[in-house]
Amino acid sequence: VQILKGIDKGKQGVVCWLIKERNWCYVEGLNCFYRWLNRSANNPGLLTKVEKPLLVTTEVSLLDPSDMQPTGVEWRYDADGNRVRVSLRSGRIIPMPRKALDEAEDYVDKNDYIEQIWDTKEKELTKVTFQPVASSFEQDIMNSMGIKEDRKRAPKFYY
Amino acid sequence: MAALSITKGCFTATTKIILKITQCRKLSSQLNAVVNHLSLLRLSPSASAAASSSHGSLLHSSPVRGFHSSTACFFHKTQPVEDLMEFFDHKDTWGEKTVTCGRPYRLDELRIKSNQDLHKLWYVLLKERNMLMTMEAEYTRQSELFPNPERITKVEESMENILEVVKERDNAVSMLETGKPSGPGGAYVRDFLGRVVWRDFKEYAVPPHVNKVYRLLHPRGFKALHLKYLPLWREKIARKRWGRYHGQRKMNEELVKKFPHLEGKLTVPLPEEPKIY
Repeated sequence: VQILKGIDKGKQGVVCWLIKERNWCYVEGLNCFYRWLNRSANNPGLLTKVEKPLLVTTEVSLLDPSDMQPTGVEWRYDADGNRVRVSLRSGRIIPMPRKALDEAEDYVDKNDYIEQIWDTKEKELTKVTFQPVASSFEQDIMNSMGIKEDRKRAPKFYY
Repeated sequence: MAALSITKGCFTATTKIILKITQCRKLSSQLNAVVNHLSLLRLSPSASAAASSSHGSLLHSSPVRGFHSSTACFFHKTQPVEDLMEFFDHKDTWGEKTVTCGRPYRLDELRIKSNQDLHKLWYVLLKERNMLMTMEAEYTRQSELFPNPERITKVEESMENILEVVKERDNAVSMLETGKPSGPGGAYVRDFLGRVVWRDFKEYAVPPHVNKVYRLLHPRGFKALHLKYLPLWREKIARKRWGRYHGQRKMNEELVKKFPHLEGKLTVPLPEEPKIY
């Protein structure tokens, strides 16, 4: 990405952290401030460089890989049916980082996950068992369990 | 590889619970103590036989809890498990800092499942949730950090998704059969101030004129025609709009004084009549 606002305006960098809730991104080594740690009368302390967040929507822009210049981006579907980012200037597809695709919401990488005995297997998950029935969910369950309800239901009121 | 969080499968209910005191942390040992106590509560064949000797019933090694019958009756399911241990996680996860956990069930994954599967999954998730909440309570009791608390959120999300899918299916059937959407529906009604508002209907066991809260909010003889609130509210809205209109006009006059070329070019639209039904 290229930073559009702030002290490091115009510089290009790689996004290292995202905070989705606030639309924040942290660019590696850019837009930083300096902080002293453990500073006291005796100890000079340690000067650390800390990145400040940038708003994804306004303060940062994705780069077109063909010319490495900031562009506007649109989400579109390619020939294979994948949802991809397309540069508005040149039409070039901007590839998604592998981490963004493989990492789940709880920051666990898909490929690093170790399957446990309590996890559902992919085969069972993708198995289609749905049979459309012209009865409500409740009725379908009652039919399959052999529950017969002959009693007249008490009136229900909706208001 | 899509891996998901699902409760442990049915494990055989043994007559004796063998507790392994492992070299886990203090928590684990505490849990073991709790479990030891609970295991005594579990129905063992001898205990159940003694309890129901008066009934003269034959109970097999894994009885259904709370089921007593006078005649010999076997109540079989796939693998009846009434172990209180189900309220606890796998023993090897006790005292661990992190427990590997997958992701919640997505809507698309649930839509391909039959109603029976969803019904079963609901109870599996319910049991998992109970287990996680028990573990959370125990960890807090021991003043320890509960590992991966997002597991509860994931289970809850899965359960919400199931409800969503069931709602969709019911709605689809209802629309096909009756042409009306399923669910309680709603309507535009007058609230206690006389304002016309959309009210989402809820299910009640009693009619409205019997419902205490409803009667307080909608007392009899409280007709909208007699309400003084509506015209006053209309006045307030109108006053605000006219205030803005006049303010903008004054500002425009000032601008024209400064920049005479704007004469006749600045216009302010008249305010709309407030829609109070």
